[in-house]
Amino acid sequence: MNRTPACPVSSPRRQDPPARLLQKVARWMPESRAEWGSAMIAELDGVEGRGERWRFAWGCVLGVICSPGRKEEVMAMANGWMQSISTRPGGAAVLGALCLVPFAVANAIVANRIEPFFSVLRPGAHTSGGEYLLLAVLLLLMPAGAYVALRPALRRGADGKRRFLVLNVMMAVLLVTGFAAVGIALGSEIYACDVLQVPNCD
Amino acid sequence: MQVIQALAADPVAWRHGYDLCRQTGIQAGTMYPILMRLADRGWLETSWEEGALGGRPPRHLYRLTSEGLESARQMKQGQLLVGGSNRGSKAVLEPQMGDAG
Repeated sequence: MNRTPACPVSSPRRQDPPARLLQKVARWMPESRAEWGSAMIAELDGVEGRGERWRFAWGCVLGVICSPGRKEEVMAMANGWMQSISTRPGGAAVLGALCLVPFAVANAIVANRIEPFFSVLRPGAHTSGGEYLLLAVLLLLMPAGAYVALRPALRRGADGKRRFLVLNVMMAVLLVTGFAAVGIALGSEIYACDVLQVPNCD
Repeated sequence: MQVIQALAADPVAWRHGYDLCRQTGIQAGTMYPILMRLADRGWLETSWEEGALGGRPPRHLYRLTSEGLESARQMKQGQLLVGGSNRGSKAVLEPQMGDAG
C-alpha cells in the first residue's frame, strides 16, 4: 500500500447526512488532533450501507467527544470562564440571576398549564419521576447561581484582601433564600400529595 | 489489548480504522481514542494512503512501532498489565466507552 506521512487535503465523495454530521463534529477536534478528524471523515467515505454509515459516524462523534485530552480541555475552558467571571462583578451577578430563569419558566408552565410545554413536562396525569428530577436540577441551579454571583467577592485582590460587592452578595442571598423557601414549600407539598396522598392537596 | 493484538498479527501491514473496527468488533467511538492514545505513547505509527482509487479520499493508516510490537509481545506473555508499574500502559488500552460490541 502506498503511503505518505503528510495529512492530505481532500474532500469526501459522499455528502450524505452521516458525512455532513461527521464533518461538522470533526471541526471540534483540537488543532493537535485535526489529523484524526480527517482520518474519520476519510474512513467514513469508504463505509457502505446507510445503517453502517450512520453507526460508524455516530461512533466517530463519540470518538471526537472522548478523544484523549478532551477532559483537560473542557476543564481549562471552565476554569477560563470562572476566571473571567471572577473579574467581572456585574457579569457574575447577571449570570447568577439567570440561573433563576429556568426554574421560573418551568414553574410558570406547570402552574398555568401552558401547552404544548406542559404535556412535555408532565406527559401523564400525575407528577413523574422525570419531572421530579428536572425540578431538582432546576432548583439546584439556584445555589449554583449564588456561587457564580459571589465568585468575584471570594477572589482576593492584588492587596490580598477580598472586596465586599453589595450587588453580588445581595444576589447570592436572594438565590439561596429563594432556594430554601421554594425547596421547603415544594418539599412539603410533594410530601403531602405524593407520600401521604392527602386528598385534594393541590 | 484487542487492538494491539490485531495490529501485531501482521506488524508489517498498514491497517485502517474501519478495518480494525470490523476485525475486533470494537466501535469507532472506542477505537479512535485507543488509536490516539497508542500514537501518543509512540506505540503506533500513522501514515496516509497514497493513490486512493475512484476519487476516494486517502485513508489514515496504522501499524505498530518497534516499541508497540515489544509491548504487544510482553502483553501476550502476560508481563504487561500486571502490577502497579504498568498501570499507565493499562490505561492506554482500556476502552473509554466500555464498548466492545
